[in-house]
Amino acid sequence: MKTIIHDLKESEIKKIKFNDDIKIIDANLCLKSCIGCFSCWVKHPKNCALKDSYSSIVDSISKSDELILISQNRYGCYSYKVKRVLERCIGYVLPYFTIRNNEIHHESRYDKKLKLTLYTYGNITKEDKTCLEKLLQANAINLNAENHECKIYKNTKELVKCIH
Amino acid sequence: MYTLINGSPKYTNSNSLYFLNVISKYLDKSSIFNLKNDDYEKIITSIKNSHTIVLSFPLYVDSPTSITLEFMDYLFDNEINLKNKKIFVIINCGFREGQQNITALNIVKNWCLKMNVIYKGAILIGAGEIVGKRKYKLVTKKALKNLFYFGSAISNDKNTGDIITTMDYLDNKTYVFLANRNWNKKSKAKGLTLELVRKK
Repeated sequence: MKTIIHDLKESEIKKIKFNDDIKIIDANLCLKSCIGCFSCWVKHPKNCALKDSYSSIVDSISKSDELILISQNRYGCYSYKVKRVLERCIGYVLPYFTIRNNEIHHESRYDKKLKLTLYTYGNITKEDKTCLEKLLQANAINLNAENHECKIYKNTKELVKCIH
Repeated sequence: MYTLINGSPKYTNSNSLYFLNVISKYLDKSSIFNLKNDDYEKIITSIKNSHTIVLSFPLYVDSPTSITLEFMDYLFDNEINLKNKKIFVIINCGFREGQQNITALNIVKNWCLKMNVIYKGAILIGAGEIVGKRKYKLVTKKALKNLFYFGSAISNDKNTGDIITTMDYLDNKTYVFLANRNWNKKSKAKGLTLELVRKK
């Protein structure tokens, strides 16, 4: 199974033909942003305290072998919409720290290692590209992902054609 | 005039706000805003009347908080003219190492380039929770000293470069031990057994 978090328009995501068992999460409809309460770590593990359809995405990610992010590039970061969803998934890892690559990172909740893939679109500078790759790498380390890949497209039209 | 912006969703009781409060003591005229609940137009009016912005946020998922990104987008997409405004940045993370904030800082730097905002410098704080809560005075001394320096540098309009403060007083193992003990305490306070914290 794969989980996709995207900020594409409904008409665009509909054009993509996915082969696998897929859970599609539309970041455009996520209206509540993380309040930093850490309930997803210390009160009701995994689940976000904010009540809507985004409360239990961690369960979907934990069943997946790949987490796919589809996001517009904003200054070398994901769009705030995709980022907002990601913040509500931090229960995927444990609050506890561990030492990884001689640095402090979060301990994994799950043994299974994810593949993390980013499909990004929109105008992109050289600085943005470097930054996005670093961000994805940092996320992959904290999520204890097996590998990560960053794919860059000029626009959504091209992206929709290439993804499956 | 300085506009100080807090990008933490835990606005009133956030470490990010504490750091801004420390900085504000060095500045003669400053206003603090919280992105979580303050009106964008009010913040923008203040920015327009200011020569310098100080942006403070915690590291969430290795990047600025989504409410910070949303505000950055708002300014960019609405072509708010910030040309030649100056910006200083404060980023704190729960990890021991201040350098884990660099990715988030680079995002802000890229935004500055596109907005023609003059980037003046940053302080990247590791162990933000310990430094912000002044829990252990002895070990937070160096980080706070850096913060005081940062505050006076802002008031003197100096370029600070990127100042990185790491919790050097504790080694990795001790830091993990203390942090994890703290998480256990927090979970217990919420009535959660340690097994449940690790629920799959």
